[in-house]
Amino acid sequence: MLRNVCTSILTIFSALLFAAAPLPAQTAPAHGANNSSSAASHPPLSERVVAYQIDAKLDAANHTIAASESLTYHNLTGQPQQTFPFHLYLNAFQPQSTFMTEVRLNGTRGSNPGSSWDPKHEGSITVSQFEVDGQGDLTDRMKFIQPDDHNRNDHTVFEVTLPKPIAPNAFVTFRMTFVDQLPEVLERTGYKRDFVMVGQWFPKVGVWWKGSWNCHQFHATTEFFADFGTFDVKLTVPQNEVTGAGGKLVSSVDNPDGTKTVTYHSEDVHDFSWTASPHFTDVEDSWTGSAGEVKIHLLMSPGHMASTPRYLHALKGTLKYFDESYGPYPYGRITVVDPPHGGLEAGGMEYPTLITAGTTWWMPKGLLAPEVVVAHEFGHQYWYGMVATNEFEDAWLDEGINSYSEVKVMSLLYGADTSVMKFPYGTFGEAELQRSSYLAVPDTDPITRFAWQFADSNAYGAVTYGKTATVLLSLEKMIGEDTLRRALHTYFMRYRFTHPTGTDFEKTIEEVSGQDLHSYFDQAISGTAILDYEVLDVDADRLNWYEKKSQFSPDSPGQMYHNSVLIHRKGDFIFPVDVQVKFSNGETVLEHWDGRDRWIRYTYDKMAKVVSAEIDPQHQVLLDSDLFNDSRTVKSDTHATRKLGNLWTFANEWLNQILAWLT
Amino acid sequence: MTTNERSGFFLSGAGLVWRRQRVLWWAFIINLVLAGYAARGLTARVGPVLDHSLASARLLVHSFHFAALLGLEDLPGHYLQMGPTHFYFSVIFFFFMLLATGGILESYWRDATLSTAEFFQSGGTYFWRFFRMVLFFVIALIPVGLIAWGLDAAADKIGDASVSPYVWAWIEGAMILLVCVLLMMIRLWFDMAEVIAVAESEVRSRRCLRRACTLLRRNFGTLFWLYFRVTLVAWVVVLAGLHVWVQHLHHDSILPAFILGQLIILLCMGARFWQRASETLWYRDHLARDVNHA
Repeated sequence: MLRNVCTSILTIFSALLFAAAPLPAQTAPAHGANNSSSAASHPPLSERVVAYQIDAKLDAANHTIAASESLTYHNLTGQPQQTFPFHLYLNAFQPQSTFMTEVRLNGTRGSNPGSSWDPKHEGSITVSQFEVDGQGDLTDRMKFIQPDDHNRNDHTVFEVTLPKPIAPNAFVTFRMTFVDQLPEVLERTGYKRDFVMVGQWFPKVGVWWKGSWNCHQFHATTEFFADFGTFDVKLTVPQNEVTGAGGKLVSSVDNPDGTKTVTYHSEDVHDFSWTASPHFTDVEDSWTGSAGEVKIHLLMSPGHMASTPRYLHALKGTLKYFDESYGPYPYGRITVVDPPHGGLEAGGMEYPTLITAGTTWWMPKGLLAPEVVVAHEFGHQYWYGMVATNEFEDAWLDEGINSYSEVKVMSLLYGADTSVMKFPYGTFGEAELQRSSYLAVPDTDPITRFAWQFADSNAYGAVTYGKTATVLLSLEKMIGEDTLRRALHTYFMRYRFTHPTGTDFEKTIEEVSGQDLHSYFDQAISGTAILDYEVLDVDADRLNWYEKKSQFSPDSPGQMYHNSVLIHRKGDFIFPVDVQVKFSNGETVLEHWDGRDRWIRYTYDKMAKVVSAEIDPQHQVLLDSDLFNDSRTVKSDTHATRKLGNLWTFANEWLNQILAWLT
Repeated sequence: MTTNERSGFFLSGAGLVWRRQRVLWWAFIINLVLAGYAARGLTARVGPVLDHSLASARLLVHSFHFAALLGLEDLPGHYLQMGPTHFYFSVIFFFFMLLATGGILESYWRDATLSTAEFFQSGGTYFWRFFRMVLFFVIALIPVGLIAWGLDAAADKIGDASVSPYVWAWIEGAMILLVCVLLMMIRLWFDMAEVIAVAESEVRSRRCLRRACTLLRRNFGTLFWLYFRVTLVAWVVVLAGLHVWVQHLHHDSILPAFILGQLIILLCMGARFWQRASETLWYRDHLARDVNHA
């Protein structure tokens, strides 16, 4: 109620005083972008550019949301602004949209290339009214634009040119009425039975960045980018719904018509998402870090309660690691949504102070998928949530750095070799997972490519997540694990609540490490070269080879050998490496090679024979595409081959038996 | 028929397999040799990569990193890629067993150790009959496949509409159980048809199948229980063997793992032969009872 009075006053105030363009800088709304709401208890953490007030009503039967939105934008662009672009992400779920066209062509996280169109996946957002305080109804001025691909059927971005520009440092309030049609859950958003996960659901203004508007269409492989601000959201839902949202619950009021209105407030965030289901079990817990208590809400779906302690352990462990390694978590709350069975497409997604996880009723203990998802999605509270990089153009800065952080957390909590799978017969570690993912598509695209311009969705995933994580893990070899941790800490503290770039990230690492790393970054981040070193040859020959062998026993004391080790840089990626050479007398020699030439030969005249040579004996250079050729022994050891042969034989015998059952 | 009599066929079937174990050993060895040949392509490819690498011992012998295994496939040589030759060896084994089944059943029916010539002579005699039966068997599997497909689709639809994930699991579980029972019934039917073909030198496959169908209808409980118990034993052996392999054998234990794996295969093959022997003994007894009644 107070909000309506305030906004009305603002409207009249603006209309009376600032009829002429541009609007002066001192215009400040009652709920302006820089005003913290009554729920705020501390000074703003971010430069609040936007203040959203949304009043939405869910029609649970038809999966629609009718809403009104008031967006107050603070023009901090330093210049007058007359044209504003807005995202309408839900319009991606239409057959001729750019998003769906790309899904059909290249696939994406939940769909394979060539997948057919299912009308249940149709979603939309329709803005029926668009007004600007002081400038009237501008609905007719709304125009869909397609800045990325000129696909006229794509309606995920529209722009409006105002009759009068908004002066620098002035405020402008947009008022919109819109209706969402949710798709059956697809790509993060939608419904499954009576569960709804509502993300990217309201008209959202673009970001003025690097001197122009940044408001890309929604693509199959892209995520999001928005300005920080405040959100005051009223949701009216059936009374039997259990709700959760990326905001603090301010009030919950039952209405006479069988609905209830829940109000959430959130600040210093750049998005707001929510969820509802009559079947959620709300598990509450808390964790205390350097910024105080963090209240935890797990919204668990039926049949998944066995995963509750697993989620909690992973979440608290991740909170602790991030708090100690990178910086404080300031929000005081985190909600984890566990999607119901059949709704996993909503899982594994991050929104400010709300993440979606994923599990099944049969999830084996040894498969740490719920833990991995929670560690990853919580990590996004830092790399995306607070350090709000542009996910369209620099996806590696959130997904990649976050995948690296995920490796560190999971290794710490569950063991380096057992953090993805821990079965009695075999194991799978997080670092290996990222490396395997990278090696599946290693050289089609550089890390820095815009997310929608990768060769396909597999290349996007492999390079953005897997390669970036592997690049950072290998960087530990150059600057040290602790230095990289300190660099990330500095990067976080310096750039939280801003929109940094890749250059900011690289410069911070160079600054903290005190090293010039541009050669590494050029190759690893901007390039596509493959790193592959191999031990080409190890050999020992008697120094007195010209004398008849029978005169000496080969191992007689005093026998000198000419030992030779040949190291080859097989790939084009130049990286300094250590080489460890072992001799038959137990002696070990450690060499360091800058890797600049194509090969190097080490020779040793000793009273011992070379036994083995190994590149990167600490096994830190995970970017190396072939770990097997990194070492070579003089003596053959067939254990591994026999072990695999044994497994293969056993599998073939089973196949034979199955066929023989037909006779 | 009393419980004692039923237990009699179960145990005496095992005794018959034990007495005529030569055929089992031959089948086992040929299976091993063919499977070994099929695996040889892989070992020949990975050998040069692994045999001189310290990483292979670290990642695949002293422990087992699935990522290292996947890494072999990611290398330019795609070392784990299977070619059609893998399948050829299985097809050869299939035809070998098709040929051997006549000899095995003849040996069990006569309760005698056949010479190699007699064994293959019997195999040759019944080969085409049994080959036709395999074709009929495949045809009989089609409705089972359709039932499985239909139930699976129904389970998906009902499960999808249900809030509880267990609804789908229960329907799928029931479906799998039903399909297993149907598969066992059909196998039992064709097993009995093969026994009839050998016992009565019946040349017409369809007549064998008709008679086996009647026989099975009239004695379903006895025969199914006989077949099912041996199946159960086989699965217990497999699960126990795999448990020991996975839980108790050290990663480095390559020879013990090989021996255990072969033991599992041998006992599984033995269980299949045991089913054949029990069915043959039951049919001999059934014929004897028919004669006495007459």
